[in-house]
Amino acid sequence: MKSSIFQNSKNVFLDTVNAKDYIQLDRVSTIYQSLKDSVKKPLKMILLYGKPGTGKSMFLTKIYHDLSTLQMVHLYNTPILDESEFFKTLAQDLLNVKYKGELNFTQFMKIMNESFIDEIPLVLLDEAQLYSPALMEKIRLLSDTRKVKFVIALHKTEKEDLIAKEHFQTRIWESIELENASSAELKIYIQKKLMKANCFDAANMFQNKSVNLIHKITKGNYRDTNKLLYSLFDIYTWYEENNPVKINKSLVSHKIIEMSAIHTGLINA
Amino acid sequence: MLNIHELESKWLNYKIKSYIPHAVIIISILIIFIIVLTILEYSSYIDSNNQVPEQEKTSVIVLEKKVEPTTKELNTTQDKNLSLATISLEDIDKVIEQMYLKQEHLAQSNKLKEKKIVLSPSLEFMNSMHDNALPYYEEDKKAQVKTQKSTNTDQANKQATSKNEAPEKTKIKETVQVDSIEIKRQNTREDIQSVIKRFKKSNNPILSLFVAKKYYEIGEYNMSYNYSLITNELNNNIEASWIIFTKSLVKLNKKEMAVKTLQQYVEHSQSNQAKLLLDEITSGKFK
Repeated sequence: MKSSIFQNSKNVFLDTVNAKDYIQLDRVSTIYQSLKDSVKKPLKMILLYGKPGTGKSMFLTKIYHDLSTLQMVHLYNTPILDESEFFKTLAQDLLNVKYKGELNFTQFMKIMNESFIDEIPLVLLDEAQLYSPALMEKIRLLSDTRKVKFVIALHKTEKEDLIAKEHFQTRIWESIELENASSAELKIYIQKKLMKANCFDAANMFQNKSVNLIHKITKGNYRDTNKLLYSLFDIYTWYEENNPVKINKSLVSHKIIEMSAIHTGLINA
Repeated sequence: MLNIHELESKWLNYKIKSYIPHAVIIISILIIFIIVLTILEYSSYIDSNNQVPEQEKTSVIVLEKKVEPTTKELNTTQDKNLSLATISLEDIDKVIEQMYLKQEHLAQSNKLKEKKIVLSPSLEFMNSMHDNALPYYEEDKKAQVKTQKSTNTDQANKQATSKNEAPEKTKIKETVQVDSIEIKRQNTREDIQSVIKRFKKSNNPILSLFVAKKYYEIGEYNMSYNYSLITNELNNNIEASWIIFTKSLVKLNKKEMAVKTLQQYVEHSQSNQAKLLLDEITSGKFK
């Protein structure tokens, strides 16, 4: 069966974190450049924070993808909540030492001090708000040794703000906040994403009015936008197969935007 | 799996819900607008109800005012008209000029009065003055009575032999001259023609009224009817023109028409003089 433009467009907005899907936006690229510059500085820690869906994971993936060829970088997308497991993973990744038994913080620090590392490795920790305060304190002590550099990404909530203040305030040299996209940025984001997948007709369907409505519904959140547009193209695909008279292929229908928002739960109908 | 039909119905519900606040706002604005409109209309209705009687009152006052100066003026002109028979053509011209000037002056003063009348609360004294004013045709009668008296006194004087009555004899001679009007009637005809010429130039209702009166005096009731009608067309507030008009009608054996027109005028003007004339016509005193 021949795949339609809507089917292809739908797959573009699958919620996956892939460095290839990274979309260069003016503001985001500026932030990305500043993060890359900060990594080169002799900083102990870099804090990357923002609301869920603002692109923190994508940022870390992108920087991991870009720097992995240049220096030692380790990305932990999923938090390792067990303390022993965390240090064992770090030992294996940083020192190439495999421990079978328990490895506590004291033992790991001893190993780190004894080992000789040419280049300070960069450890990227995503969803850092899930780590326990005790483990976060140990990560702080670890960064104080200047043997490891950390980029910590966490959600910006009151609780996470406290973590940031209490544990990292004095040690953080760089703090970067990611925000939701504006309406104009969202339009560029959608169109670039579609054009990257050669869905030019679908990209042309998004005019200012329809993007404004999408922005109103998603508040510029990239994850919500992806969800909404996936659902939108899913509905378009259905109409194309079952009732093609009802759809206009030159302009995104506000009705279908709202229907997809209802379907994804962004609108409470 | 997408259930589009369910999604569509959900969307429809969502749309209806989203329009409810707008609809409520629009309806409430409309209700407020209607309430404000009705309040305004009601207030304007009350105002108009309050204003109408005041306007009626003022109009009545204005009418009374308009009638009053004409009667006064007519009284003055009547006084002069009584002696017109013995006045020369130059005198008549002078009198007419004076009348014309007075008319203009009165018209101006009337306009000013009309403007001021709206503010004056009561003009009852005008009615009382009007009641006290001597009617035109009564003065005619008085003049006749005077002449009768003078003839009576003439007869009495013929019988009397005392020297003190000599001045009265000279008066009698004068009245005799007055009786020999036939010669002077020709003069009045000429006078009337000259006045008619002046009237044709100026279209002054005073002149046409004068002509109507003159024609009535010399017994040409058709002409007096015509000129009083012309006067009425030019200015229908001159009471004397109405009187002459009805009198002429009576004289032309059109009593019913005279009564009708006079009744209408009385209803309109509430003129006492007209009322008296109407009574006299209906009772048959005036023939």
